[in-house]
Amino acid sequence: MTTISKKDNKAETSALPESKKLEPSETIVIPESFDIREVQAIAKSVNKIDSNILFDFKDCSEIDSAAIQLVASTHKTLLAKSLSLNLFNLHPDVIQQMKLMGNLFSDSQLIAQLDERQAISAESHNDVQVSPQQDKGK
Amino acid sequence: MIAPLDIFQTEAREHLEKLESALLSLESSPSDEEMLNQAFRSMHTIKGGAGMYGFDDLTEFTHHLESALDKVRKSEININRELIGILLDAGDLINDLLSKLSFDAHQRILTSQLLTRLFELVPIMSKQDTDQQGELIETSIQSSVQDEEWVYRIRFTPDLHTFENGFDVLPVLRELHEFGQCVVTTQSSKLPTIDKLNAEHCYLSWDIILVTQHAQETIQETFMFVEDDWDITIEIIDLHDDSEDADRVGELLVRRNIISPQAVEQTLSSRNELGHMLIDQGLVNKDEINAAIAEQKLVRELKSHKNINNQDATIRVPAGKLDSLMNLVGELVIVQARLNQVATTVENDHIHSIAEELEMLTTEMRDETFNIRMMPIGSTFGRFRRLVRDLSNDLDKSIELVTFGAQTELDKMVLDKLSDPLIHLIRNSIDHGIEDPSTRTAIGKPEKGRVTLSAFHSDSQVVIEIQDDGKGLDTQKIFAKAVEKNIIQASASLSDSEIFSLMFEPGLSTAAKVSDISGRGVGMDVVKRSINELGGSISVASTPNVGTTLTIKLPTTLAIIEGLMVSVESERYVLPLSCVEECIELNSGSKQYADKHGLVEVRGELIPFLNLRSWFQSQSARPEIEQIVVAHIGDEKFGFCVDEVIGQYQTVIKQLGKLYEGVVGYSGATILGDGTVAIILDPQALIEYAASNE
Repeated sequence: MTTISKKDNKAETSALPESKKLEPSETIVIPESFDIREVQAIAKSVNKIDSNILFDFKDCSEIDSAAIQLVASTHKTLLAKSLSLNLFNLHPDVIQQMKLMGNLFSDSQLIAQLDERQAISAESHNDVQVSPQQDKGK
Repeated sequence: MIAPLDIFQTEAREHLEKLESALLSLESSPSDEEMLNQAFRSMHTIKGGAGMYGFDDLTEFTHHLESALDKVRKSEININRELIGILLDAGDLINDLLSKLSFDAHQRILTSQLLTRLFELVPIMSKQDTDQQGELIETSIQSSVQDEEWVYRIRFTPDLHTFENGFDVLPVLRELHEFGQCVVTTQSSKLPTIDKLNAEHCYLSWDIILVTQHAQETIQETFMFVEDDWDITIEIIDLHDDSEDADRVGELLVRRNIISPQAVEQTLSSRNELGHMLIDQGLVNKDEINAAIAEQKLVRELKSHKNINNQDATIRVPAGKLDSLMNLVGELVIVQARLNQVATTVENDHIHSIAEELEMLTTEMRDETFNIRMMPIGSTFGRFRRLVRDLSNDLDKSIELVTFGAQTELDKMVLDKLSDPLIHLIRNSIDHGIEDPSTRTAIGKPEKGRVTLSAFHSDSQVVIEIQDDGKGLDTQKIFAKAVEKNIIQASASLSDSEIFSLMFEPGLSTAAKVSDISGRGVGMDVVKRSINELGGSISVASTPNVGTTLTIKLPTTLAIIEGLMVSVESERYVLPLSCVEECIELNSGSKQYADKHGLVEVRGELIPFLNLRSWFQSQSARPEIEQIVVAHIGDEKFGFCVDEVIGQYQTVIKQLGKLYEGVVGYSGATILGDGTVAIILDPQALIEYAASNE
């Protein structure tokens, strides 16, 4: 499993060579706080292998449009190679943020994934409140 | 290009001004819904911008303030002086925090203290309360919307460097969703594969159909921080207009950049059009079809033109660029004057014609450039309402500020430099002029004092008056203080007007005690110097127990003035035309003829004059007939004796440079058409300097 380090943890970052090849059915774990360039460096290696990719957002409750665009680009790359992208462990807020961006993931399989994750998350996150932090920009 | 973050800060500050103005209006008219909505909108927009730039702490802080304002809008709480005070303080704090991505420990304490005050006053505000902000906003916005429902076609393409500049598109989309039913279509055709992707660039664009009750202006506000950099179009789809349905599919495909307009045209032309079919069936003739098509084309062009005009109504330009443009126009005016001079020496109709045309264009360009720099003085007046409010509270006085002529325009540079002197004068009026409520009541005056700030045009000048209905100036006290400070002799015999003028002398303060607000005797001399540096003058009029009026006269601009060119010996000088009253002849046989200075009688009035030839120590013989230029300085008239009056001259003001900073009596220089330099005289400084050297 490949782990993207937190941007404020330089030691961990340097331990991750950018050219590291992903294993088949590789999981990319997106931490709570991340540097988009580091995620890209890892994601870029998907172009060199023939493998399905799984983005794991287990620590992430917030995501920005640059990160969603990166996921969409990864998706587009895999789609061209008839491979698939799975989005895993999505926080309901992250699902909401991805949906706000529109029809970015054009294949029905991924949209169904988001719907499915949202349904599962809704059950397990019934007590989740929208905090002012997530409300920023209103 | 202006950095997006700078745009946010500039516009947020504009909203803070609007917020302050609305809050101050609410203080006197708590039921003014328009002002309440204005305050809410400003706070909402600041919060939106902060969120868009990732200023999370600021977003959270403004979120609570916005919630409080929303509760007022929903009549859950009443707005009162205390809440307004908290919101005003919050506005000041936000102004300081606009550039802080996250707050440091001290800033957290300040914001926390302010929120504690807010929560104490608005006890129904709890964390849960503010956590439900999404609902709050939605409900509050809904409460202000129109009854009619609109359908908008919104298309926006963020700038390629949007992410790099710290923007996030999500808050914009989130806000649009809050307005109503939203169908979002993302255009990702330009999104590259991961190996070619620059993660900090934005390759996406969006098409949105929004069904809402909000006005287009409100929708546009969502994009106010990015409108200069993003490609944004917002159109209303008129559901009542049948023509919208006529070519919907083709038009929508073109709008979504799926196909080009040419492709639609080509496809349509490849099949039998309705017109052709109708002609084939003999129902209409070709001319009738052509006329209908021409009408359709014209209407579409007009609609398209209208949209373009609406979108480009205003642009934001850095002040530095305007200064630079003004300088270039100044240089152009000088070159044009040179060309005019050359043209008079050449007998060539073509040159004359070009010179005349250039003069016309230069004058037009100069006026337009001036107009761009002109700003209504009301923007400065707005700040004083807050000043008066705070000082009234500090001094336990009840004072209202009344303003007139807020639309009077002044050059931005003059306006910027005018703010500090005006603040000082208003503080003085409130601190020294207006009596405390009990004294006012005892002498039969209304308990509430009044400071009136008015601005108006007079000739080529702008006049600003600061009037109070206080106790007026005490001439005896000023006189005694001036004697004590050795400014005048105890035996001096001065008119009231001359005594009032003493208050502009350095070190003179008649305040019984020194307060934080005024009374240290520093300030009035600085005020006068600042006004003089702007090419203006200040005078005082006062009546005991009625009040004091300070009158400031200013040129509308500092860049180019209309001047009166005169000569002394072989040198040329310029006097500001705005202060010139008239020119009279003085011949050597006159009894008023004097070597250095003297008095000249003009229609029974004796006017003192300064002979510039003697003043500049010219050695050559005086001409047989000299001219006296009579100028008004404040309320007084003075003359300047010169060799010759050459005439009116459009004067581009150039600074004299640091070397001549200490030289009194000159306000700058100008370059004449023949390349020589003429000094611009400062009549007031010259007279004062001459008088002090007597």
